[in-house]
Amino acid sequence: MNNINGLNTQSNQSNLLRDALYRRFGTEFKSSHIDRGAIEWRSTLFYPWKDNLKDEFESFFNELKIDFNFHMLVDISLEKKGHEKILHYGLINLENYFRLLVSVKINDGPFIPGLKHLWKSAEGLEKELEERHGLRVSNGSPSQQRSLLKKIKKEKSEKREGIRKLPEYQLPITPNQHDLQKKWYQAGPISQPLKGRARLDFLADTEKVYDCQIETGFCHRGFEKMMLNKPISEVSFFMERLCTRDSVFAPLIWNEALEQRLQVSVTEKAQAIRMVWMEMARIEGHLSYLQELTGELGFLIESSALTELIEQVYHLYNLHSGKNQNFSIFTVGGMKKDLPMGWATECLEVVKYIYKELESIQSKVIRNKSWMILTAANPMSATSALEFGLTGPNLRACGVNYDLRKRRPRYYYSDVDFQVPLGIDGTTYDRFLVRVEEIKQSIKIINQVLDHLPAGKVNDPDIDMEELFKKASDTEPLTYNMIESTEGELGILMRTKGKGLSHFHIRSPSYVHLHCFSNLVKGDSVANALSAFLSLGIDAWEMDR
Amino acid sequence: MSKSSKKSNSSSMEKNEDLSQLEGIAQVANGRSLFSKIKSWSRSQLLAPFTVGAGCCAREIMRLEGPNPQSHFIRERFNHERVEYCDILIVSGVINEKLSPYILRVYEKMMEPKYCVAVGTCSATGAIFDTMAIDELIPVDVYIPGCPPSMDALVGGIEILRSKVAKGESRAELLKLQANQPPEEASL
Ligand code: SF4
Repeated sequence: MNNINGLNTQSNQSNLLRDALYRRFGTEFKSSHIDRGAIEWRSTLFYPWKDNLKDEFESFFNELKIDFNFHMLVDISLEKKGHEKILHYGLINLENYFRLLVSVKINDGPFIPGLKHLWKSAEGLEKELEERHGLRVSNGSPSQQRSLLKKIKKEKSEKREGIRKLPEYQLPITPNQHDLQKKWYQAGPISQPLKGRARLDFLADTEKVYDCQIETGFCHRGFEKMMLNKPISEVSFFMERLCTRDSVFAPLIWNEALEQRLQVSVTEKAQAIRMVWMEMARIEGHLSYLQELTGELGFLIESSALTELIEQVYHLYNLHSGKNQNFSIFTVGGMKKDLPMGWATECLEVVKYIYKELESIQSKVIRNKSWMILTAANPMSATSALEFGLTGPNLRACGVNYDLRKRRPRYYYSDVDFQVPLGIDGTTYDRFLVRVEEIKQSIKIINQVLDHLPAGKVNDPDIDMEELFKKASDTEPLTYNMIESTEGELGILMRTKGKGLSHFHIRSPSYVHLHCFSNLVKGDSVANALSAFLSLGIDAWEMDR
Repeated sequence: MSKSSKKSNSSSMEKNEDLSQLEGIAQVANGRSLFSKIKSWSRSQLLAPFTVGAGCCAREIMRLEGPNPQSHFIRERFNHERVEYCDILIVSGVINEKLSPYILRVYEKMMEPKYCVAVGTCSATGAIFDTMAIDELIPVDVYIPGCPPSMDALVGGIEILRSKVAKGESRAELLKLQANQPPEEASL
């Protein structure tokens, strides 16, 4: 699957780019183990950070952005190796589809230099470093409350039943006291449309929102840190509970990363079944998004019709795995269970039904005048979407054709025929419509795969994990794996050590998407702001980790 | 038992003075007035729940409203807009230090008598991600175990809650009574 026909010219271009990078930065660029398929990863160990190297650091990234066209910063993660701290920056060049991992060693300086002025997505990612790891970023905006979990771990014997008083949060003071019409309003975190995702503080008058501050961490549970103390066999259990939208992509990506690390191949039938499961999860995720948005905007009949469609997907899950969420169905090398007799027929019938119902719901909603008025607000241009590091349907709604299923096809995605729906100006309307179309494309994929389902086994019972770990234990490379999940690029950056993990980081699309929100709502009304928040499709658990 | 229930009687009489005569007439053998019985029975027939939490269990709770075959047992809407009109708090998912003040604020705003249901292992014990349990914050009436709980467990839990509401056995009220009692009586 590594030689993909359409990508030959692209890989030539990326060779040129790689050579240019070598010529410019010379010995600092080392090839790493992360090359896979059409994707290039190069890592470099940069200088230890000192005061006088700040300018050098910034000019290095400036050059990468301006001269080498790395327009997207998708991820920053912090790795701790003993006393050493290493920051990994993930960059994408969209023209050649070239990915770069820049690793920077830092020492205990007072600050790490911020990159907010180069990529807007850096603001949110650096805020995360501050909140979760206690690093200070120069020119960063400090968060109001750090979400470290240390304080929570008190002794269990102190547990006392009854009502306790805890400190309350105070709204920021209005900057200009003379302007009495502007006030801070607080939305969330518990109230209805937000549902524990975030707290939004709006500086607004009756017409406009002037400023918006976002506070996250209400579902933070120290996921990444927790995984470092767990044996590898247990991680899959937790990955199922990473995201509340669906429990398919996260465990799948973990199993894939292990397969990549231990060099295990997946059987043909399992590949096909995994594709079907991924598309089913996409359908489910998008359906629940549509249901929430239509319900919030007052289209209650359509909303309850969509709930019925979600139940249909649950029915399919149930027939194969026996559960409707948190199913432990994936394993290293394939699937745990084969498809039951007649499942494929049932599935084809169900998706046909979903397609028909969705068409009728779509025709009722999108031509509706009030729907058009309610969702016409909050546009986003393609450039600013790229700057904020959006991926998935939110990026495609702005008109950028970027889908990992096309750019980096795995399994049989290069063989099936499907299109990537694009929006025009990134309004809530477009974001809705792109998702509706994506459901239809997913149904198309499921139909094609189930028509040509390969025969054979779904897993390899002879895989000896102990043996494989022993073989792999002499090297400790960084492994990066990513997938086009329902809402965008979900990624894992990890380093295994013996039977445990020494570094584990999740690139969650929701966290990155959230930070374009304040830009999205400025100058619009508060009522539109809440529907715009829903239209970004943010998942609380995946975001906070 | 009889002592505490008599106390609750007297306190309710102080509250509604105009109803005190009626309640006196309707005194029945086990210490609760017929009037308060009717009140709590009618409350049990239309629960007013407010859901908190954004975990995988929340998805399961929302299914209770949907077209699922078991959900015809439940007649409630699960997302009321006003907290002030609700008397049942349904908590699911992870609760951490940052979220807990907001849960308390919601709980304080709710109508009395207050009931609380903890759905799923996360909120009941905090065991899965090593976080807070909801009973460290507020008294809980019904625990529904499971990760996530099955549909039958959820429906069963709501039915248990309904019978508790019908009897007027709120744990929060009980704790309040115990706190008000002099120490030697409390030991009984
Ligand atoms: S108890 Fe399990 S299913 Fe429920 S919220 Fe927690 S992890 Fe999710």
